Amino acid sequence: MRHSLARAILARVWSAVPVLIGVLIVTFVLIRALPGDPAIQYATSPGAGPEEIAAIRREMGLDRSVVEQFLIYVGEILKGNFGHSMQTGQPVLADFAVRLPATIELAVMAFVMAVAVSLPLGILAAIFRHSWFDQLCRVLSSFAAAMPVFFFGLLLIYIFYFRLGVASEPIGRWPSMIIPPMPITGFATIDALMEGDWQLFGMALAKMVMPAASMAIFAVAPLLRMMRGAMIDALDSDYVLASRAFGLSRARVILRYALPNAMLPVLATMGMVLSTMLGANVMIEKLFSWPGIGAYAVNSLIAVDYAPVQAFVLIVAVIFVLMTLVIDVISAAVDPRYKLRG
Amino acid sequence: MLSLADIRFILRRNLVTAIAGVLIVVLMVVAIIGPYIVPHDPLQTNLREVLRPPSASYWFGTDHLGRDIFSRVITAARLDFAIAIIAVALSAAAGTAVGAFSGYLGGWVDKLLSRLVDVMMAFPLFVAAMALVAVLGNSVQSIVLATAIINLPFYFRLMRAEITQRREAGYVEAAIINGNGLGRILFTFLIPNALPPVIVQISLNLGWAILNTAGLAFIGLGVAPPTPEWGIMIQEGAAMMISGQWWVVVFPGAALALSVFCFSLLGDGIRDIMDPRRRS
Amino acid sequence: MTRTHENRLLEIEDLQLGFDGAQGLLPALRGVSVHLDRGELVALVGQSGSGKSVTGLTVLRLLGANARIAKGAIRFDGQDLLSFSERQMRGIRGGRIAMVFQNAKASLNPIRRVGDTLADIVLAHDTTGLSRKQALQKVVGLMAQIGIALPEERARAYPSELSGGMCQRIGIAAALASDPELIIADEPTSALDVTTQQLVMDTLTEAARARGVAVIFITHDLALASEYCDRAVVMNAGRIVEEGPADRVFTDPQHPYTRALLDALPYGKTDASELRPMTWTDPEDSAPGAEGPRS
Repeated sequence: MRHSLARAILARVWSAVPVLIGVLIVTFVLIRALPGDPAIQYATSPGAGPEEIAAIRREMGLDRSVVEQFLIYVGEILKGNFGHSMQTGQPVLADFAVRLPATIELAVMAFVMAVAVSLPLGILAAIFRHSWFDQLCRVLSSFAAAMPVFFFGLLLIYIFYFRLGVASEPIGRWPSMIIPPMPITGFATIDALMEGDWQLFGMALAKMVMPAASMAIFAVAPLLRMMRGAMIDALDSDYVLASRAFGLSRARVILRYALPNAMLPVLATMGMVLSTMLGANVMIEKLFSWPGIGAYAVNSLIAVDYAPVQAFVLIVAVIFVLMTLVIDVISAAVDPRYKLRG
Repeated sequence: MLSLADIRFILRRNLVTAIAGVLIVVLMVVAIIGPYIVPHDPLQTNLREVLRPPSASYWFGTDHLGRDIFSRVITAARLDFAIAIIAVALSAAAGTAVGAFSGYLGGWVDKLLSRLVDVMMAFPLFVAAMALVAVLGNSVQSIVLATAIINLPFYFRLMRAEITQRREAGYVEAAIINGNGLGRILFTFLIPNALPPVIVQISLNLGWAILNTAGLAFIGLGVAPPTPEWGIMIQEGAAMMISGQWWVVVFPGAALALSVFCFSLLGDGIRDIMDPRRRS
Repeated sequence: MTRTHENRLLEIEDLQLGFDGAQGLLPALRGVSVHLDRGELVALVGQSGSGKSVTGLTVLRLLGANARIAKGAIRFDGQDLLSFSERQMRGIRGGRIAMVFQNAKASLNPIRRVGDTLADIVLAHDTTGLSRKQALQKVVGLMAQIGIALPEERARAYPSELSGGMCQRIGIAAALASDPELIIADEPTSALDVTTQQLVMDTLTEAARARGVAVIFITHDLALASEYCDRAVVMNAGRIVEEGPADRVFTDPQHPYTRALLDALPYGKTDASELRPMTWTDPEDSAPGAEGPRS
């Protein structure tokens, strides 16, 4: 039985391969379709001479067939060469390495906030169906769904920074007068902890609250609705009726019977939500001057500096494909019916 | 067909949906006639009336260039709605058509198209829109096309699933036996029956499309200043939130949120009416 | 009605019940009286919507929030269950009264090993401080007792890995897990094929007779009822139309409804033309809305 589970998981992992290849093809077409000469994008500096450009052109095989070009492109990516940013003059990969932790840290925080708010609300709304609380949750999720993240972020800034003065300045990761810790991991909170400085840790966390909350608003509606719906399905199921008929306590019925079953579809929604967050982070990073890959990509795009944009699109898509894969594998491990669905 | 009494019954049972529908009609009317009735020229700057709070002469106040925010919010509705409607119409038409053919034909065509759509879905929507705008150039047309393309997979998958399910249905087989051609079977038997979920999707999608347009404008893509557009207005007012001139952001933001809110309520409502099992 | 009978286990008296719906109250039970002695096997027979399942669920007070009991009493071992608190009911449910469901596979938690589900039931009613491991051992022993082969392996399986018939026998083990006095079996074999039906019914009735457990067997199959039960109660449109020894009701029905029910069954017939569709309606009640929400 476990053997066929392993096979189902392997099949799922294998099914991600054509999608990843497709993603590579799309990004390959993307750079070729972008206005401008790809060789110039891969040049180390905007002021590269014609010889250097010609050398890159040969190196990239721009004079060869499309298939060869694609293989060279994939090879370069596997070597970690995403070209150079004209704006920073750095290899794109190096720029990303500096910025990715900031993005991940913020996205994780936002995701945790969204989950921490939506799931309990969704569960309670399902348990107290049609009550005033359920109605309130419904209104809340409708508002959250319609709220543009950047507008919500600005409302938070106005209320908590300008009016109440409780939030820290909505710019960047650190207060302006602070010497940040050594960027060992790049994660502000972890670096602060590594220096053993709880005050710095608190500051890093405080800086994240508003941008993360703005990003989280995006995820509240889908998570809450899915949690409520899945929980209602579970509570109305035969196995919950049966477990009540067998005299199990209400707490046990809800926590051990209804909830684990309801979590399976919610898990899939979580994957979708993480994906929307990777899109929302672009707006939020720009709004809060957050030094992550989203803001970096947008600034490059506006400045007609395409190598970082193409790398951003590729990296985000790969992260997304892998994330969905991980979530599917988790579902497979938890759900004994998974292998039957294939 | 629905009789008048049926419609009245449905409306009474779905008050929220009805209100959302009415509000959308109002917003549409405003979008169409708004530019002719606004009290001020939305592009007219006035450096003596900079950042005035809402008042009798400037209902929503003025922005950092002294432009009337009320006039700008009203004028912007037309552009935002037009982009969303054209984009969604394009993607619904193309997506359902391709999805229907793919689902009906099956085989390698279906496999190939489905895989292609899987790849499209691997890019987060907003990121895909950004990338497409980069390729197509920074213009309003690109925003329309990009929005249409990123929403295509939803219609494709929806229609494909509906068609593959219905292809085996008795009435379709009967139509094939009677010698009806492919086009006739698709357009008279299959697509009309699969339409309800597409209509729901369109309503929900219009909301997303408006959000998407405003979001792209907010980060500086697509619509360019000084054109009145909600996303741009919010972006321009962002700095003023820190200095307390809330009205520059709040009014366009509220207009944007209200539009999206109405479309998503309408979509949810239509879904509930069409599928009583999901009624909550 | 008096409580003179020493052996009386369950007594349902003039139960009237309806469901709140969009069009007002839908009546489901219109004065049902059923009694049951200790160790007795009684069949509750009727079509879909006759109110037989509703009766079963009402005894355990498991109906949804829209159920309204207008009148009547349910006395179990002399105590009125309708006056019990939810907490008191929990001791009854699965403890003194257990239930076997129609769709066995769906009534087992799909992501929990069946042994764990059964152990949950044992532990919920245990007063002797069993450990989970001991509860599991008890469950495996019980499964072996009712003739489930390879009980240890089966206990480790998930419902989706077992056949429908096996799931139903697990369901019977679940019902027996807490040594109940009464088992309400709601169409326990209707989802199974005929050969499995026999096996499941044998398992259920043998276990019940051996332990002296009373059974209310809810079914639409009068033949199956007469084969396994002592007494049959025939229901239609929320009322009891006939009652008596099971084989007498089966061989010599008194009420036209029971006769119509038998005419619609294939038993004892040599030609399909002898089958009659169920067309009988109660002359007292031809009003719509007499159907309960569950079969």
